[in-house]
Amino acid sequence: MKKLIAMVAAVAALAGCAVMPETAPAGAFQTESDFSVTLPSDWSRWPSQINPATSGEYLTKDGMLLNRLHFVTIADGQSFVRVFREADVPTYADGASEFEVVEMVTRSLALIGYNSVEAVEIRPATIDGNEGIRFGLIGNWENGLNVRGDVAAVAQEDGLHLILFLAPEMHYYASLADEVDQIMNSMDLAAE
Amino acid sequence: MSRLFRSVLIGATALATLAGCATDQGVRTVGQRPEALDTTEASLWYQMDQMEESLLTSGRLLEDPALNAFVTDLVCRIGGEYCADIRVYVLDSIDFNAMMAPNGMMLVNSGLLLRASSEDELAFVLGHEMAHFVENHALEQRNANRNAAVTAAIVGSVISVGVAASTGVAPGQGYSGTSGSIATALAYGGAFSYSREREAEADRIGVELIAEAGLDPTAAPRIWTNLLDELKASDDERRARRADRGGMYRTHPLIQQRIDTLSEQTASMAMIEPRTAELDAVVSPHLKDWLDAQIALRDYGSSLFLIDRRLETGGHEGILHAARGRVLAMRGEEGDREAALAAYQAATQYDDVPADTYRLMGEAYRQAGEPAAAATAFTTYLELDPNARDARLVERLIETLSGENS
Repeated sequence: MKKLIAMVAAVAALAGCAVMPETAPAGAFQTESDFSVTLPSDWSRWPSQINPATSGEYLTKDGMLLNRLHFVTIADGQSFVRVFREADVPTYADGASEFEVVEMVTRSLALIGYNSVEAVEIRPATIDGNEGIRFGLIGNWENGLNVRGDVAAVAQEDGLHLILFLAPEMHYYASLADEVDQIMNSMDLAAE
Repeated sequence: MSRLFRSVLIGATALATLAGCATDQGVRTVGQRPEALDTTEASLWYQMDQMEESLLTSGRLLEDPALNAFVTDLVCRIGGEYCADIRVYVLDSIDFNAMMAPNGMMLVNSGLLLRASSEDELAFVLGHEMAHFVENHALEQRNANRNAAVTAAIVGSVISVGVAASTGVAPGQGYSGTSGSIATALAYGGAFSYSREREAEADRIGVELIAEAGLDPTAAPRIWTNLLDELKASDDERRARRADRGGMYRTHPLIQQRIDTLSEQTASMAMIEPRTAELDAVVSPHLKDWLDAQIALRDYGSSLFLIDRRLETGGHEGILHAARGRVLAMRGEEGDREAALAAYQAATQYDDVPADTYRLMGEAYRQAGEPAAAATAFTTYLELDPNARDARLVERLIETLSGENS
């Protein structure tokens, strides 16, 4: 009986630790990283603990394979791809050039199921008063589905702040592109 | 106890050796397909058909008609009557590899095409894969693996109980548990040994096939020698270890062993002048992209080896010097920045210099604190490629650098 009670208590304790997707309501949204954004509408939030392939958290409208908005801050020497065995993962380095940041993102995506990823429309962008970059992505998901994406990145002392949006090219990308643009434009680096 | 343990080991070794036995499937007939749907072969075909279907929509295939036609023609030249059974796909993957599935799907990595220095070398690897197909090696290996699993289970159980009866130690404990594990290890060791034998057989047949097709058989040891030298030059510890890693669980013979065996086999064969023109013609449009993919691996030693070997043979100097500069700039060791800039400058002396060499040069000057030179290089880049995907960013950089300079 004591064993049973102990087991039930242990299971109950674990249940309290469980991390589940949750609603991210419209309005100010403090990311797990060192910045916040403003969401024009409700999203579903997938915390970093339940994302096996990458660090950082995701927001999605219709499911992770249909649209995903990835928020992450990458410190010097770190990667946003979780290290798998001894795989060579691209890392961010303080002082990296804009071109190196673009390459780090495209190479990282190749390690988590995206093929033939290319950056397009690479352009300078002012992000919360700081010099950053924006660029688009085109490629294929590993099942052959054409995907598109957008990236906003800005380097700060504590690392590279990154927002990465990916969705199937057909319907899903276009249906959210404007809202994602608003979210990227709303990056607030001073938020805590 | 030690006598008993020795007996156990001898028994386990003998039985485990059986794991590789009784799997010879003979030579395939032209047009062969599994007839009965409940056979191991039919299961294997089904899996491979599924994989092929997925591959076609994966976005990982290089859809260059000239390149695919060239590789397919070469396969047919050495494969003869089996040609109609084989479908060749060039995979956008920079590893040195090719694969032949029992349903006739042949995958050829772009990394192999990048590394083959002649059509004869490429043909040898294709012949090796053809040998796996004709000799039904995939099916035989699957049977060997299944035998290993069954052998390990039976031998492990018998030995465990036997040792337990002799020692009074419960099955799964002490020596009885250890002997069961040893049986498993030996059984699978037998299956891997079988795999190595099949690889050696495929090497031997590969040489025969290219010789019969009028190609240079001495290309066989040469491509392995080049790969071995590349692995030795590698900065990637995992790749470098492949150069001389031994052990009972290797699926392939050691590369040096393969070189020695193939050198012996081809010693008495006449060398034919290597053919390079057709391979070069189909590789050229992809050379820069493939080198970029190789460089992105950040295996500086391996990349420099490949680039320098190509520079020695001549041609594509603009692309190759620029690639060399990029590797050095990424490596960033003492003196690399200057060497990278020198390599970029060398690239600009050739007509085939890629436009983005000037962007890389601009970046190198920018990091070196030379804004005027950086702005000039970036400007040349946009003159050569005004619609570059990063044109807007580069325009901003030119503005900023010009401001710093004034």
